[in-house]
Amino acid sequence: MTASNSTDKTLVQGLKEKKEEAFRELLERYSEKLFHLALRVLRREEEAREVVQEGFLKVVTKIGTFQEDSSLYTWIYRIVLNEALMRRRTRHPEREIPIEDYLPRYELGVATEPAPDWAKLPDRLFEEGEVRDFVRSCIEDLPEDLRTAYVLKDGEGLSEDEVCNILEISKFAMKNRVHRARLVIKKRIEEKYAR
Amino acid sequence: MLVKALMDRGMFALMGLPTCKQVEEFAYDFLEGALDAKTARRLERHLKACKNCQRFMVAYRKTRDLEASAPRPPLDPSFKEEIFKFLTKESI
Ligand SMILES: [Zn+2]
Repeated sequence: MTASNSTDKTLVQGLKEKKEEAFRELLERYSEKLFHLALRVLRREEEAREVVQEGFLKVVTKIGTFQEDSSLYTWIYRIVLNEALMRRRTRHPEREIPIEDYLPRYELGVATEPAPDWAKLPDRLFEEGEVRDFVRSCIEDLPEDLRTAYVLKDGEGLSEDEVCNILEISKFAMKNRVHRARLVIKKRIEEKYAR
Repeated sequence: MLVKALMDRGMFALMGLPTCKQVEEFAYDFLEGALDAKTARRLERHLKACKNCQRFMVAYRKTRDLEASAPRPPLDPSFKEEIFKFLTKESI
């Protein structure tokens, strides 16, 4: 990322006035990040690029509606995320997996099944193509709310506040979604590789 | 299983520690470093005593890190220029 001297305020002002240098600044700051965000949702580079392009167009045409007291970063992320999710929904209908089946069970506070030992799994395992593809399909199979929270928090590494603001959900809901996503993915990997 | 569960539960309760289920419920905040010091200490003491939860935590942490370590393809350098042209054409 190129260091930027321009604050959000001057960038917003520049975008409103449709200044070329503001466009350049916007692209410089956000292209890469938004591309990766869209790619996490769509998994196809071509589509991710299209979505980022559409997202940027929305940003510059709707900049007049941007509330100056909110975060520009969050606003832009939300636009591109929603664009990507919409595109994804048209591509394939949600394959709702019954997540309850993959959450741990307890009896009197103790797990009903012994935990598999992941320490025995070689670290390299997760870098191998086949396992990587399987992990990816586990993420893909999550319901949209869990999947989106997981890829923003654990994939993109956004802060809790950023995820809450982008998704417009409470901290409690955000944590709950990320936590359940991790549990489901973990369980599915265990069923396949750690038995 | 049930007898053992009761024994484990009794032991953790005696030591004033969370149950295995609570360890799972605290796992997110634990990794985030968001638990208060007292709860974090209790959870760590449970982990020391409970192999099952140790394994759970290893797997949980690894699952958190899976997507972050996925390769990120670079963005084609010509992309910004293309979008710049697109934006100036479409919006001005
Ligand atoms: Zn335990």
